[in-house]
Amino acid sequence: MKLIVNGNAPVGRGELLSLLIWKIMRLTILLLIIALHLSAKTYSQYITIKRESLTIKHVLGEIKRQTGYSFIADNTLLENSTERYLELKNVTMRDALDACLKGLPYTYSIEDHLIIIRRMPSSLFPSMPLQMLVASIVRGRITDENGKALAGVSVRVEGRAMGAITNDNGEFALTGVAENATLIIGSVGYETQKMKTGGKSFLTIVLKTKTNVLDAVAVVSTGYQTISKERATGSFDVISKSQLDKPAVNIAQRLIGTTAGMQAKLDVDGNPTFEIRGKTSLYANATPLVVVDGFPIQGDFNSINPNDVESVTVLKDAAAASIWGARSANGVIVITTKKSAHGVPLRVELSAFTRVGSKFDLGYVNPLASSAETVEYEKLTFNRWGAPVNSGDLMSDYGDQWSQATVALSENYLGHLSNADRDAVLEKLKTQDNRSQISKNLLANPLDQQYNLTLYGGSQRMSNVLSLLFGKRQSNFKGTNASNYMFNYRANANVFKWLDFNVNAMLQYNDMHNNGVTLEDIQGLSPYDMLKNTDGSLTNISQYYWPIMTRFVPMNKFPYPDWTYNPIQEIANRDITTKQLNARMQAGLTFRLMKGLSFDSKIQYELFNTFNRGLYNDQTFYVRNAVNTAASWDQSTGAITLNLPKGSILTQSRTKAESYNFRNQVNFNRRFGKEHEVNVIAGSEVNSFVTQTFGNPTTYGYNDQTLTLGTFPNGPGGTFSPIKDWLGYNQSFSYTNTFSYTTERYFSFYANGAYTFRNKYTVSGSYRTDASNLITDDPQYRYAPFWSAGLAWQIQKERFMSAISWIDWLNVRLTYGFNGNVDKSTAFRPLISTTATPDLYTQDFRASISSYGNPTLRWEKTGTWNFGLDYTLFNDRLRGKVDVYNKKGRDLIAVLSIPAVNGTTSQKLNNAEMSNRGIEVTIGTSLPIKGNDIIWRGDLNFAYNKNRITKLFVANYPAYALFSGGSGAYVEGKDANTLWSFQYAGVYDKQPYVQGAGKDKYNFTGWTPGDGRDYMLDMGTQVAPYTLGMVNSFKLYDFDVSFIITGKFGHVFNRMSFNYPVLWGSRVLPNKKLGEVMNGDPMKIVPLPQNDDEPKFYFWDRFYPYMSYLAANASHIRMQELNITYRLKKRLTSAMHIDGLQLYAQGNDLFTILANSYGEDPEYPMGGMKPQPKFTFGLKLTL
Amino acid sequence: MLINKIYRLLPGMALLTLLSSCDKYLDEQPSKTSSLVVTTTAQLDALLNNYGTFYREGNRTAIYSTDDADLPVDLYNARPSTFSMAQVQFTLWDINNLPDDGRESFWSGEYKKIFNANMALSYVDKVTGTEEEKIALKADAHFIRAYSYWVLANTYCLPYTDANKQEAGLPIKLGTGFEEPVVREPLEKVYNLIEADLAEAQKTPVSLASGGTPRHWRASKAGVNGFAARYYLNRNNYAEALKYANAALAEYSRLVDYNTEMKYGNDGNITINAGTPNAQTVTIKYPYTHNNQVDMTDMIGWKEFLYFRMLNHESWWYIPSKALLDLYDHDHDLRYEYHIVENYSYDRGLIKPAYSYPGYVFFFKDRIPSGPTVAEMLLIRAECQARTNNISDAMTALNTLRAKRMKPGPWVNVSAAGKDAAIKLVLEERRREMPFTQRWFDIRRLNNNGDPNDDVALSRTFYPYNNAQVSVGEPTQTYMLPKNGRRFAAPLPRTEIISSNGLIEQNKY
Repeated sequence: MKLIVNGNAPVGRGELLSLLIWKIMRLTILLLIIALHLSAKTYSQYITIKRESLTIKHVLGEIKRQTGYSFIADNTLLENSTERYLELKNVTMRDALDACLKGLPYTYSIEDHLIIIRRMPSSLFPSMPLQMLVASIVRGRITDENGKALAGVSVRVEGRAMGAITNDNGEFALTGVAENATLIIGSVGYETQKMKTGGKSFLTIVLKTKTNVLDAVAVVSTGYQTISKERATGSFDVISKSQLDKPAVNIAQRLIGTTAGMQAKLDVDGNPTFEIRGKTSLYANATPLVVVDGFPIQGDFNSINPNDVESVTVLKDAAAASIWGARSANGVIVITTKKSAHGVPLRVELSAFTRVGSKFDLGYVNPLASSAETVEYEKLTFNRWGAPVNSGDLMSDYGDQWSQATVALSENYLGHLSNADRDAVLEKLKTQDNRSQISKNLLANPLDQQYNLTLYGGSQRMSNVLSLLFGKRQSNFKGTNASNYMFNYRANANVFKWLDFNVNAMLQYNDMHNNGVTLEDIQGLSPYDMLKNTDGSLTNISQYYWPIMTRFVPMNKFPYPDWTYNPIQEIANRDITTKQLNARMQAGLTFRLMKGLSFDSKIQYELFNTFNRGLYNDQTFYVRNAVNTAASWDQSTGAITLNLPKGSILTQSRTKAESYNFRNQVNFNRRFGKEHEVNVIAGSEVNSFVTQTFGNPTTYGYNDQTLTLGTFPNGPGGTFSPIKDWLGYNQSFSYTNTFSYTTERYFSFYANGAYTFRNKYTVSGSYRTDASNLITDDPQYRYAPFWSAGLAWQIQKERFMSAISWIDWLNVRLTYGFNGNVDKSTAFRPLISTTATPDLYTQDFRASISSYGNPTLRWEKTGTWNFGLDYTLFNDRLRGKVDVYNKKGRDLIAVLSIPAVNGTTSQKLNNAEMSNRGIEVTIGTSLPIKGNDIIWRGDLNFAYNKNRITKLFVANYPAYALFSGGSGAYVEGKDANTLWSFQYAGVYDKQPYVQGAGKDKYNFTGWTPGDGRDYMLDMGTQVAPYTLGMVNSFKLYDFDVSFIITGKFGHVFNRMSFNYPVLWGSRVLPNKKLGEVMNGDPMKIVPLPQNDDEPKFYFWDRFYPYMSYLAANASHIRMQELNITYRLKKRLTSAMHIDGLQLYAQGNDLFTILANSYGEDPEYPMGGMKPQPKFTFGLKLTL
Repeated sequence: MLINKIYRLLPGMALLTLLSSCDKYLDEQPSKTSSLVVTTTAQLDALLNNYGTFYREGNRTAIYSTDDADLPVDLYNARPSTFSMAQVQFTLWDINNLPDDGRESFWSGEYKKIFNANMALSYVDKVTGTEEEKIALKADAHFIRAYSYWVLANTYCLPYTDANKQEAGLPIKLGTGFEEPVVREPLEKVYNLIEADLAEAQKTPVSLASGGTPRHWRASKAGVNGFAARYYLNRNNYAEALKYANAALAEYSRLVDYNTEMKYGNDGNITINAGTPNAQTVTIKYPYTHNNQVDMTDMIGWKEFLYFRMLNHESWWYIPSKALLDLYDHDHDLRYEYHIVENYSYDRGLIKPAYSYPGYVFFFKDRIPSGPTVAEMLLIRAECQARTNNISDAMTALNTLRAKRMKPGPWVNVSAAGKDAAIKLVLEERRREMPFTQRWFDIRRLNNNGDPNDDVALSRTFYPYNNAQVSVGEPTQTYMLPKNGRRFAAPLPRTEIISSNGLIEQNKY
């Protein structure tokens, strides 16, 4: 199908607008055509020229424009000053060329998409050099070292203005090349070669990959545009490709240690959280904005196929990030996905890896005292220190989830167990240890598997990338695992010379099973609570005070006679799943309207669906307990009435998040003369994000085979038909659906411009206004303007620098501007929230105050100064940069304590200010040690950040607000992450004391008075001010060895304290610091209570975890990663008919060097989940 | 043609997004269920329907500081860890340590109710809805405010007498903004506000039981009149008090007959002195109202409420004083039988060695009706009539109530020879009927009503104590709260003084 459109184009000097509209209309038809016939030629082979006098150059230019054909022509022709008067209407290209060259000594030939014009070899022109007469056609093929054809390589003839570009097969042809001519062959990423033709008519040329340069980055991406690095004024960091190519479950893992000023912390599953250049907001979201292919995404890093990532740019200062306006104060991470080149043959990449780790170290994640110590401690605490007494009454005490030892002590106290029997029980418990049973039955080796297939390919006008990913994960807990399927497709089509169309599609399915226990479940067990008896049967880890149950409750008369609990049984009999079906679609059009001017229209749509389902069969305690305790039990007659049907319980809910983002942008890039270059973008976007949740009522008596379900035999209860539970209390069952619906909307204008003078001086500026649907009375607060300005100066281009030969490149940058932050939880006015169902007892709908109002509401704003220096020294051997910044946040939202007479004791108000100052230094080198065989490549980054709250009015800081940390502990003049501790003062009169204001001392029985700042100690910041990242790699012949080391220094953490447990409703579980307290000096460490009766012992937990003696140095160095990759030799790969094969082994979280002597990892404190070393084995195959 | 339309639409949309300011697009509310701006009377109605916001009064002064309550030394010695320091301090009218008590919730809770009322008042004229609905909402909100300011003034300020008019009152908040001043206004201004709010509340068109079920969690004519009766009795204005009590009773006068409608609920069974020769299992009998902690059926269904408020005790033990116990006819008074729960101390852990002491139990272990009730109206009527020397009518009112509270028999009907005897009978009946909830307010008015016969001076015997500990070993001492003691104003939480930067001042003692 051919379409002749140029012939119908509206001529004349119509306004830009009508042209634009016309082009868009045309496009719509064309898109349909493309969809049907992507290969159809849409350039016209017919030419219309209506001009008066034109030079040859202009005529050829017009032919090129209208046909899309390129020329190779002799300079002499282009410099020919002959003018033509032409009037052509829908003539063929040959006719046009004939008309143009008429009477001139040139002939032409058309090959593929190339018009080659050469002088006629005629003796009429004696000025022709002699060698031209013997010139001939030279053909050739260009490949890389692996023999892969290289398309798009330019082949030039030295000293002549002629050349060719290789086609898909790497082939080229040059006509009229002198016998002794020299060809210059070069391509990005390859070393430039010179070669004499030597009279040969066919040349085979192998290009060598450039190796002894760092991953040089020519451009940086802000998400809205790409900027040449030379002209960028902002602070950008680009993560190298070699770093991104390593195996990762999640692309964010690849960013750790790579970027100065970006701190990362991984959770136990390897999902990191980032903080760029310190804490910018006290209360609003503190994570950087994540942008994928130009749009902020709503899914996290897990919705990105790590194998698809081409580059990652981190935007740190105002000039770089302020284009993202109200969401950019935390920095922006811009991810660009891989594209295929146009006109390359199909390339296939296949990769697979398995990552395995060891099981949790239970001594670390659940640091309990030994069984013997625990029993002794329970004896010590029993009925002392304010512990409640079990009265033996069913109603008040059946629910005490006490340990076996405490139950034995209590039964003895109540007179049901003799001293000898009690002691026998206790002695037996002392000898039991459940850790190996926990490890065997509840824990698993974490395992990740990933398989990825990517196909690249494209025609001259269209490129395609298709990737398929399958991932499988086993968590640290048995029964909790997930599978992940992801499909990505990206295409880019040059519809016309003036129009590009691109589309991205992502489809993801996650299937997660969450049947396993949580760490909290394990931490709730006494160390002697065995899961299995010696005969292999399951134990009863009772959720009740069992002897009371056996004494008073006819358990076997209840619907389920079995009232026992065991986690192994729970895991086996429940099916808790989360299924996610996520999709992301992007489509964009780029119109090239005139030289340098283009218009982009892009849309992104995301749909994230999550389905949660929990099916518990009646083997689970959950079901048995629910049905049993819901039954009515007449204690006098013994009659038991079922109120819930027997059978499985099913819970279901789902969420749906939908977002769209629509953007229109004008780009203008143009050079004027030799000295002026202008680069401007301006646009607008609208963004909408809707989240809906749906909850189904719990289904009782469900049968998953027959899909039958039960009803409430006696109704759901409530005021008008009350039903009693087993203990005679009224009960009611929920039977309604629940819904929620939230909308976030933004509307933004933005513009960004840069002007470069003489290629040396660049001035840049940006402006953005964001409006959202936050609740406001005054629209001026909606349109918060953010702006930035920057300067860059490439010093080495100055004449005075030419004498300094060791400086290859030197660029200084200076920027200032504002970024914003969103906290939409407050509004000018008080807000309410309403209930979805009428109240059970009054049948009224109810509402409550959800916000007390923030009369100062506005966007948080952070102003940033940044001074930067980029350098390349010693003939590219050393390169890097230095950035110094000063960030000042103002109008930050803080929670302030206000008098309760205002209806609330605290309220979020925009009245805080905070500064972050810092310096970041990056040094990189690439050193060939033995030619191309042994190369060392090293990158080191170092950052320092100092955070300080510069303005915050809080009338008073009670001590508990300070030690609790978080927003309540923000103090003017201090770091936002300050650790506040009490100074322990020792024991007086059998009471422990902390140091108070002046000479006062306060005991532990009540809140300490006055302002905590007067007597609490500032122990330092809890976030490392100094961070270090080191990435080193060695190429050793066919091996690559690389490692990543990260370090954090200069901060403190609160190490684990003894937990001083006292008997209450649950088990008494002293932790392993018990010895520290028992053997400690009571004047130096808080001892156990000295009085038998210590009614306020429960209150001590407001003191003992916050002692200054617990603050420890948090500095550490972490061996983040070690990777060994083997690349199969070329001769082997070509023998196997493959492009390449890599095999690798990688270790992560291998070890940590700690500055504290307590063996506690500051980032994974004792008693929490800590990642164990993980080992990855994998391969990558390219076809 | 569709395609043609799309042609035009595309550039049009592009221009639109470039040029328009999209205010309408941004007017979409962030959420359909939370973070809502109030726009309808239905929403305000929902706000005031939320009895959970309003019905609890954690007034520990009322719980601990009157002669209805006690903490006998023997009881304390039986198991000191059962009793909190705050309990000791409230019992002994402490002024130094209570401001730092971390569990204060009464002051902040009442001001939260006031905020909700102010929210309704500041929006009611801006929202859509019928005039009728708005009148009811306004009256309701004024009522909530009057009620809260009154209980606050009667707890944290000195009694309202001519001499005390310029004493420190309360911060007056009439709007929802934080910029309103927070300084304590003179007591007179607070009372002027209460009376003004009460006058507005009396405009309510709502009848308590108009729909059949009494909707006592919302303001009604009966509820407002009931509170007005309480207010004027407290001001020693017996004529007004009588007028409003009669008005309330005229509208609604259902009483619970303890002979037929009160019953026992689930028992407690506790083994005491276990492991000793004295071991035994004791059954504790509770009223049925004790059964449910969370389920509101019985509480909402309690038919004597004119307005739904309850005293709330976080430590679950209203300890009746010997004096209170002695006021009851142990054999015939059904209030004693059901609400005075024998051996309740066992439930509180005093089982080894066992120490038996009763507890006053109404709803669950923690709540007692404190809002105006039909019973209170009868008692107000009786007192007003007694004080105006209308003794026979006073006795009629009293005996109407007693008939529903006592087993039938000659002990039901009482009679008085003279005015003072009649007043004494009424006041004793008040204590039996409404222990803890009204006693603090009553003592304050009785000491200032010009009648020296009914004055109450408080005193206790207990160990010395400090902020952290009771000095159990040391000799006991006598603590007194004399008739006109300044400690009749409870100390404010210190956090208020600090977070207001000293604008809110502490009571002077």
